[in-house]
Amino acid sequence: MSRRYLVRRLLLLIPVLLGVMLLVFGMVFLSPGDPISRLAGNKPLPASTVASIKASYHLDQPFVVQFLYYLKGVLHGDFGQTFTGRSVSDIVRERFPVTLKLAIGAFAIEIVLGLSLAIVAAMRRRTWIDSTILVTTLILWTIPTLVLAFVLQYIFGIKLHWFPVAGVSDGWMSYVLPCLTIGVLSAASLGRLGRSAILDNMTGEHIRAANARGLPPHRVIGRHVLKNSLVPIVTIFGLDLAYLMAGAVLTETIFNLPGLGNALVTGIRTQNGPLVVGLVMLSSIFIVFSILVVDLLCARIDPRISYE
Amino acid sequence: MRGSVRIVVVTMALAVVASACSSSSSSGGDTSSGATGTQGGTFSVANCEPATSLIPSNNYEGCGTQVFEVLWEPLMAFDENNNLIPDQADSVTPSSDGLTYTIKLKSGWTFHDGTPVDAQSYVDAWNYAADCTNGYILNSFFDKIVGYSDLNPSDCKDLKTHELTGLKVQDDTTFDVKLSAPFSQFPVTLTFDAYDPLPKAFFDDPDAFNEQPIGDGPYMMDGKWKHDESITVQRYEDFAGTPGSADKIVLKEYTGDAIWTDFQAGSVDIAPINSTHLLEAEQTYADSLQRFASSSFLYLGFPLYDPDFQNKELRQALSLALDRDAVIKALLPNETPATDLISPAIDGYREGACQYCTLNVDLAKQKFDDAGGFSGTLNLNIYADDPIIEQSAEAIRNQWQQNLGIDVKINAIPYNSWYGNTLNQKQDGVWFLDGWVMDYPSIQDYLTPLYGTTGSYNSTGYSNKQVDDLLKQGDEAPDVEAGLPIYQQADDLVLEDMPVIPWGYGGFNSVNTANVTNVVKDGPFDQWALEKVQVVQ
Repeated sequence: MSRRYLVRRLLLLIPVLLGVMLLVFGMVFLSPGDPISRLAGNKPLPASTVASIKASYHLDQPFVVQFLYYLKGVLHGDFGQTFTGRSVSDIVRERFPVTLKLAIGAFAIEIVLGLSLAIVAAMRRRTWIDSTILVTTLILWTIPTLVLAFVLQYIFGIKLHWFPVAGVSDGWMSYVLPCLTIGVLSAASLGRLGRSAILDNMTGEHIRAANARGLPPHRVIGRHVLKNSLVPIVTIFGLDLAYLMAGAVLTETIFNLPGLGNALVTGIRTQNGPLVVGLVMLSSIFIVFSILVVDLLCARIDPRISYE
Repeated sequence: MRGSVRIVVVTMALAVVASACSSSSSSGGDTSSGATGTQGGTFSVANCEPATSLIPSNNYEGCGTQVFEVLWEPLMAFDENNNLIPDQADSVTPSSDGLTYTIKLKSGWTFHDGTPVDAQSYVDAWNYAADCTNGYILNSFFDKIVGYSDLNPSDCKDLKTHELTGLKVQDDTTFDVKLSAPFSQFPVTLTFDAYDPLPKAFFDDPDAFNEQPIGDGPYMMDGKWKHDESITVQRYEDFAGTPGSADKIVLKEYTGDAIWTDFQAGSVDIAPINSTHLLEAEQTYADSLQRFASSSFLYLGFPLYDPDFQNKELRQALSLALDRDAVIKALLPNETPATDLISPAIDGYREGACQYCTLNVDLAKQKFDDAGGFSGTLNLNIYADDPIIEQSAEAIRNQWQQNLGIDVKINAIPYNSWYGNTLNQKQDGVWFLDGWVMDYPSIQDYLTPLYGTTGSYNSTGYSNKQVDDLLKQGDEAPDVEAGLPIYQQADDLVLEDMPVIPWGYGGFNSVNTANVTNVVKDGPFDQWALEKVQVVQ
């Protein structure tokens, strides 16, 4: 597809991001409650201290002015400071690797397990293997993240002591249980969807022709079927990865991983405006970029899809 | 979080069926007698990420104060019998008019970087915190010192000075503090870390200092503050006071409930227990479970600015009609029912001081009728998104409806709005559940801020000149102890007037693994005395 299309898509990102920024900024800063006076717990701060803190964060200015200050900062790469004085960029930089590792690990499990399940189920359709996979994935799909997380923690952490149940102080071992939690559940849904996509494609005439020509099954699947089924699968991948990068809030909280999702929860709870806006902006960027990448990939994979 | 407890129980049952053998108590605190620890070893304790700062005058929450407990040594402290004694100070002596306190420091104490702890380091630290331009949140702890108002104009602009005129350095180990009014409890306030000294290194670069603070306590930072991960401290070998027991302490930071799972997995040695897991802990970790009443006082507030609630007997009736024991036992096992306006951890607490704090339906009905009843619907305002609070509010509503025949409506709004209404005196009914955590362990701190006419947290609008006078008298008493009975008189008056319904005291509960012994609370403060914890060798 044309370079013009690509450029146009990229340019469209800007109004989208601006819109998100304005929306989130508005939601956080216009909501009731005063985060500054609560910095000392339920003891109200003296007026002088509040005035001093508010002045340093421009909170005494009208909303539009605050937003413009923020925008100016963003254009210089400064996403502001949280109300407790830490730079949002520092927080993101510290927490990003944790979420990245979690996302990559979970993603790897999702791809390997999900695709395997999909292919095996499709190849062995209507046998007991297929039925087992269908039932298992259905059960897994319905298990809430919370439950699986606790079960894994209990069995493999508390009882068997194989893996740590919280924190990131044990290197890659700390990520095993959290990645399994997310990966297994996503693999279940991917498995089912992938299976359907593959099955849809296996009944085409081109497959019958390939089989008739004596191509071995793995060639048929690998070269002809998979490529065509990839479009829905890649779409799911892209969105999953984007959401993972935004921080799997529940998993991060249960396993006490200091990632972006965890930061978002804390930020919302303490009404830490700059932090929340920064994090949501980051997630928006990920998601919008992922959608773009997925669209481009799909067009690459399937030439029938074309953009103007 | 109760739903998830049920889920865990069910899945645990399934897991037990699935796995072969049953488990014996593998973890859990079997603090076998005879296994006394000696100096040395490393242990870990569950903490949370200090949200604001690691500077003592800029952090209020337990996440920070627990760290300060090992990094700094306060001027005054409490001994094992809860008596007030000088700690880093050698003496704190008031002048005859009670306005000026001469603080003499012990000599030979050093900061972790080797620089001496002298009077100037205290005065500089106090000036910095009292100065509104620095925006330190414990700024108000210096408001009784002469010169505070010059450092705190309400818009914090055009300050002419950045030093409190009431502070005077006499020599290396002595400085004077001049108060604007007599305050008998001043020595008690000095047990709080807001008054800790700061070395010159702080003033050179406060931001860098925040990442690796330098204090004067039994432990020093071992590496930087690992945000959201942990803070590690090691014993300071040149400490002039009683040295700490363990070699290293790791304060691991948790958000949310991961503490409990990590403790069960044996990855953290000391952990606090909240309501959710208390019953479980009582079963599985009975050996090491310790329960203390915390310093937090929980209450229901009355809007005395609303004519509907201005009758004293009505308020007493509402309190008498509540069965705190039942509700707390069922829903809030972490708490204990309140019978005084101050916490049991504080000197001056009297059990049963409150005449109207146990269930007495007949007396409640009688007072209710004497007061002329309550017309219309009574609003019970709570903050949303806390299922335990909602259930407790339901129980309260039922009790009032059954025992007094009042129509009660529960209104749940987001916490920030609820809190704003409370502070700005905009509550249109009784609010639940408000709480007060002490600044320093004095009965005065539970009374003046809440019930003094100009109290900083007087959200009920209560004003009683007799109480104000008694509080002032207590402040003017010659020393800390002499003030106590006077404050208690004020306490009695307030309990009689009942501007709030005392509900309960929070709990400070902990469990520990068999790796450590001598896990004790830090006197009246809701934290552990980590320097006393011994690692079992």
